[in-house]
Amino acid sequence: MRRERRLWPWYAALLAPFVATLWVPFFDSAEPRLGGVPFFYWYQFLWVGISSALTAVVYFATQREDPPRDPPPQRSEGRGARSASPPSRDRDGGST
Amino acid sequence: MNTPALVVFVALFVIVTAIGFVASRWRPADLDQLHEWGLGGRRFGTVVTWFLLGGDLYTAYTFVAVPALVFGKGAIGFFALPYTIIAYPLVFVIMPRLWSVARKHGYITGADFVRGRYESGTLALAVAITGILATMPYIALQLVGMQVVLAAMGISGDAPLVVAFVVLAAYTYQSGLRAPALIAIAKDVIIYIAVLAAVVTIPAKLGGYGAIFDAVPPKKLILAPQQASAYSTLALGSALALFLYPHSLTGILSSSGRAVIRRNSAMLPAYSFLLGLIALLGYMAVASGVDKSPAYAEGFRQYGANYAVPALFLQSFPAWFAGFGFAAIAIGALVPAAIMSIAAANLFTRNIYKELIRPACTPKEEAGVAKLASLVVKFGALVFIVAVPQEYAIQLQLLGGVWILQTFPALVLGLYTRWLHRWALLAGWAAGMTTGTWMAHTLAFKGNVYPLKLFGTIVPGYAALWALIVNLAVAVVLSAVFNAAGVARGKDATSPEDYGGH
Repeated sequence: MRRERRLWPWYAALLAPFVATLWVPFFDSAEPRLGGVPFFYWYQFLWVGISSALTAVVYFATQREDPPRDPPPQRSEGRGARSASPPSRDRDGGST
Repeated sequence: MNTPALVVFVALFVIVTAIGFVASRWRPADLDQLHEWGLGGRRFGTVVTWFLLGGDLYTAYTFVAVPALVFGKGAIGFFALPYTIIAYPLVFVIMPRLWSVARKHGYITGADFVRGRYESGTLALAVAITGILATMPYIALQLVGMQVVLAAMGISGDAPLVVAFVVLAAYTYQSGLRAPALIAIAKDVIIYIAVLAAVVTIPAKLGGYGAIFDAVPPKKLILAPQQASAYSTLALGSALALFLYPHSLTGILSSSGRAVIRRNSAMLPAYSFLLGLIALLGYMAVASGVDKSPAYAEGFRQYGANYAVPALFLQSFPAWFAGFGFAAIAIGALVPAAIMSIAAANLFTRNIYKELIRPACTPKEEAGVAKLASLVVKFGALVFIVAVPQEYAIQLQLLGGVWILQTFPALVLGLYTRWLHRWALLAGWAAGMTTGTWMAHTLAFKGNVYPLKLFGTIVPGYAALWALIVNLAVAVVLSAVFNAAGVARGKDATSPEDYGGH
């Protein structure tokens, strides 16, 4: 429970893209243009970048809160054989 | 017939087909296990998952229909951008929970989770059938994307479509999810090259982005005040629905860990950026005046606004590169079509066949049924698109989006709370399905923006979202009633630790 309380402020940061892109009056205007592109368009393109960066920041900030990592991934032959029963690990898998 | 374009197109298609068959030997494992065939063994790391989900969510139909909407209707068509902006923070927060619980209990479909969580085969069946119903027309629409680019190269008739789909069916049968995962890498490289070339060279020819936006009628350039609610509800509703689609869940569950999903939420917006650029192709088509050129009149007559991007490519690129761009769209159809048919096959096998027909089937039989089901699903989509007017497929896909959102309470809220009662969720689902379908019916199935009368004003909004509100209201009220009356809640097979903390 304590862990969830620590995470909450970080997750709340992810609400920003919702407010910024769903409240149309913020950006429903042609001016100011940027390189000939109306505000409506470059504003939303900008938020693709901001939202992605925010997600990355929250990812790194909450990484330590993630469950401890797995032992390094096993060889694939072993995994195939093991798979007859449902895998029971519920932690981060190694990324291959 | 456009020979240089066709040569490039066919060459790329052959390469991709070879990749599809070779994929069965990639990270070899026993493909007679459903989680190997249908989820790639849950082993895809960050990079493969990025390509797989990118190839899965940004479909051929997206590449044709989004710019077509911008071309025809202007700013409102741009809702695809906020939609894909807000979808990823949702994935970041929600989907690691689903991944953890699915890994722990061997769930392969969303309906598997619902069954385990609520001990209700009926609720799981409702979720599974909704998923299959929403997916089928979506597969059919991938064929529409292919049909349009084939027509642009002067190829008509259904034979090439049949050939493409038979080939697709063969390698999906053999390689399972490995095939689209490997093809997605090639596909995305081709798509990025084609789109970046288009957004650099075409504006240069048309006099820059300023000139392109100047060619758009001012009324279409930004939203009218009464379009605002439609814009944001379409974006929000589509974002909530995106990861309820079976093919998205398949992509998520095939990844090797929570961190892979979380990292990809930050990395997948690269595709959103690409999608925004693709949407702008619609305005480039307006500025280049392709719709007024007699050379493309026949294409526009037959395919309407969907012909805008192919016509733009033909006019702006040398023939061989137009073929490259068309191959990008056609191969862009194969990846999602393969994943969608696998996802629908997984649902059929796990939640219909094993649930109702053969509860005692062996793992090998289960995988065999899924492989056959994937063939049936693709064959069904093919018959649909060849035999039924194209507009029905489009209307059904619109309805599919309305329907799939009605699984949100059981699937997503179910990841956080067990308070909602299984029978209340089922009633809410039924109410949402009925409301959404009724709203679509009053719009003659031609649109999905329903003008809701609210306290004397009219609020136009995405029918899926209005239906979800009805769905939630029913689910909450009935849950309170059923819980108070002590109606049996079913046993929860999962425990709080199974969700991985947060």
